[in-house]
Amino acid sequence: MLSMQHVSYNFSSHWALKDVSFAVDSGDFVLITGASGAGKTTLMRLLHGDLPLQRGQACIAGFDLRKLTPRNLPHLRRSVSVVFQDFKILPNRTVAENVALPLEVNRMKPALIRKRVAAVLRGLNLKNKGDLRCKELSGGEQQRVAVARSIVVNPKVLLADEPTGNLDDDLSRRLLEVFKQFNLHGTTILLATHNRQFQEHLPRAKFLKLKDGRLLNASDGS
Amino acid sequence: MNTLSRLVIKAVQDIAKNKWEQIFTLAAVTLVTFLGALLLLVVQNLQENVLRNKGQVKFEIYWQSAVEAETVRQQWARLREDPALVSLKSFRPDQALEVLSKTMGEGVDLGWIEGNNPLPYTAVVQYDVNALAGDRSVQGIYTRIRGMPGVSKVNFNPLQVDMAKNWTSFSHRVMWPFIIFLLLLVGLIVGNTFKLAQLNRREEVDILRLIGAARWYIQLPLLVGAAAQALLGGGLALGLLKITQDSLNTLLNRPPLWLEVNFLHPAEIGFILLALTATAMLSSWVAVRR
Repeated sequence: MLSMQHVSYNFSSHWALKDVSFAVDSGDFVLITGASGAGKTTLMRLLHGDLPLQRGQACIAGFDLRKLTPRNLPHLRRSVSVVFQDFKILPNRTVAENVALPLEVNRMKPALIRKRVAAVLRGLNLKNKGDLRCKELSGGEQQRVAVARSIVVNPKVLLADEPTGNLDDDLSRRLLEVFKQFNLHGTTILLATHNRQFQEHLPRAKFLKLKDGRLLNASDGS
Repeated sequence: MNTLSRLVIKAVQDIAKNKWEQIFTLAAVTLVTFLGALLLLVVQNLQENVLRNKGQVKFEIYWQSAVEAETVRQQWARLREDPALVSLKSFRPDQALEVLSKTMGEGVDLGWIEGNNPLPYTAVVQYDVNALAGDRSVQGIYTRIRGMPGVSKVNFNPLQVDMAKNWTSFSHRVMWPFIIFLLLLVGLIVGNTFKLAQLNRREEVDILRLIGAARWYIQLPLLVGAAAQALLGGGLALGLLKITQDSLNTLLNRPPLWLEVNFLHPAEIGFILLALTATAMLSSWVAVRR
């Protein structure tokens, strides 16, 4: 489902990633850990096509990132969803409108969109919040809206970059449960975090540990 | 309904969101366009009025109050027979009273004067100087009209003919380049206004990119929305201009000026709307392209 081989990335002043290689199978839950500045976000941005591949090879969900063009980039992003630490939702739009965005982009019919959105909001305990503007929600609720938007299209891969960075421990655990449930349905998940306690809650996850742009060692839960 | 139609409808619906932003953008576009179009109207009418009189001279004739109506009518008829005559506008005392009444506004009733109207017979006569044959001259015409029985006063401006020639040179060298410069300025202001308005939607554009929207899916509603706003703003500006033109006509198209203010030509109206729309769409595209 996903692989990187000898990938390096330079931001003109420093190397954010140095010779990173790993592979992820379909349906895996991968935890990417490391301190701030280790290269986690750069890795995520490369996988999402937000940064161009400078060195090495990488494939995700059937897309070769070396051959990414402005024309096929949107197609990659319809298969690979992202959840950001800062939510990246539209504050003046309603919860339902935010969650429906990817479905509209995929040209789904309005009646189907309404059904799918309602189902996802129910699954994330946002059923009664559909008509509220996102700026009226709490931080935890906004993050759930962001997650809802990312999963409503049933992506092949879900990238989550510090999704619990702005949440307290309780909300973080609850969000992790949502990811676990989603992973059980077959979505490959890569979750970047500097929170080491997540390892306890994800016994079957694989781990990638980054330090100063290098991959220290990749291991599975056993 | 296919995706394209939905996006176009969405573009128009988006105008209703962020109301105050849209209102300020629309107000800016309308007012700037109105100012530019007003300047164009003024210069164009100046040009038309001056050139209309090119080689022509206008006489304003006032008769004495006690003159016989039949005498004046015969004199008008004789004036109309002159081959060099371009136009003759005549006013009976009752017509002059009506014009005066309109000038003084509603609520002023001058009906009580009707039986004892002090206003004289008047006429505005225009001659084509170039058509004056033989030993006829402008001064000669003046002397002839002044000598007609019952005529109290005759006004004419001997500088009028020279003014027409000087205006043409002035307008080509100064006015029209100035107008073009101002219209470019209007274009820049309108363009910048739209660009700033679209920059406020940058966040939305970035999120759409992140979730896999194609470029055309992102840009089409923005461009359609900008075009709709430009057309609406242009329409409002032209509406304001029409009201202004009517007001100017009420003020100026009467004695002694008789200056008729014409509206812009259809081609100019079309150009303004097209230029506004193109500027709005181009600025919006520049604002959100990467």
